[in-house]
Amino acid sequence: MNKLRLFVFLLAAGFLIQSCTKDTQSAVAFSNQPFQANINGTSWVPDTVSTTITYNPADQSKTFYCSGQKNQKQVIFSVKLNNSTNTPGFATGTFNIDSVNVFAQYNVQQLNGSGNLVFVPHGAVKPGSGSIVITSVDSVKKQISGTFSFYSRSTQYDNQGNVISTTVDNITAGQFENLSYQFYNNQ
Amino acid sequence: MKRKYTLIILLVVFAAAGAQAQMKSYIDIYGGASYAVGNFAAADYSNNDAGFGKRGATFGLDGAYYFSKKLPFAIGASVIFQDQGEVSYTDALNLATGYTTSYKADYTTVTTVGRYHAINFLVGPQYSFQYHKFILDLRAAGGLSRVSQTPAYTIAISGVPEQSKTIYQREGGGLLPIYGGSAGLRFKFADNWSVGIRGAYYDTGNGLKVNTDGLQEPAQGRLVTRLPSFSVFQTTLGITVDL
Repeated sequence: MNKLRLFVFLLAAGFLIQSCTKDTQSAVAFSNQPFQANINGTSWVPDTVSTTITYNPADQSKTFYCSGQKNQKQVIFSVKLNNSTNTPGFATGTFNIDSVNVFAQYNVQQLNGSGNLVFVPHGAVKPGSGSIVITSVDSVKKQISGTFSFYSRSTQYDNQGNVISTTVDNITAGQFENLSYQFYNNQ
Repeated sequence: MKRKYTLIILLVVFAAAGAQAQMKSYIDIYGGASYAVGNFAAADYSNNDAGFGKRGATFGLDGAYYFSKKLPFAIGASVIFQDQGEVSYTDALNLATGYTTSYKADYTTVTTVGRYHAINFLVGPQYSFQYHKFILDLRAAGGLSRVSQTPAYTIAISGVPEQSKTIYQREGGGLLPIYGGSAGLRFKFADNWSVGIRGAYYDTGNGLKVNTDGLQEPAQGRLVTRLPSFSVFQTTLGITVDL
């Protein structure tokens, strides 16, 4: 009988020792796509991306243009270099938005008067509201890398011109890495 | 080749000795490690049968009844608890990365909780060989496995309108058939007491059906509707008392 008691005790002890913890594991995996940004704090990875560098011989300028869109949102930015040559490369550096040579725009999709979905600017991106940084350009492979961030402000007014509300969309942590581009000559 | 001959010689020696041995029925308590093997241990996003099982603890109560003291045949029975661990952070991250890639998502959050727990009830024939104070027990066993807990998964995919709902793979449980075998070596250190080591392999065959909610068709990523069979290899130490 004592032997049986010992076995029951050992078995019960085993159950107690085996107090397995139930840990909660939580992991987040972000996209590793070459073009992505945070829009108002939420990661956004466009599924349609267009990147070009276009040389315009008329004014000897070269423009880097990039757009991405997904889920009724669209981000566009461009950098124009004056006094450029007809080559597929592009200058690296930081380009502050000035609405003259450096533009950025945040669009959302809306129904127009004809009932079609079109992208329209959600607010205005004014000079000084952000920058585009081009970190590397491979003119042989035609790949370009860099970062961008800006904000777009929209203000609603009443009939008397008083401000009702202001909305700011923050496009932050934008990055494009080894993004392939097309080179065009507008001749 | 040498190993093969050594094993055959050992079996012959044990068998020859076992024929003259005095076998006693016994009960045994043991504990050790239980290793998930096969698909149960796999941890690939692309393998829907991957179970993310781990090494865990096992312990149990075991016994054998010899029909005659002069014959080395017995009927053995076991009650075995086994824990096969839980999904690790690395596993959760691999799953999240897989969902992000396959859904072309902005990002995916995978949250898991729960462990694999099961209690197995096994019965089977045993043949024992005795050589001096050593007894080699070979047993085939079958029975039922009561799976009391499996990990649950919550998968939130962001930036994919086609999969806007959160996916839940619920905790599962139920009864499964189980079969396997074991080999144990006991050393009698006193008249009625012995200590022993044992290796065992068990497999539950078809795994449990699991409930998955929130998956929007057509699924663009991993889909699990049935868990893999719970295949385990166990190594244990035990103490035995003769009855």
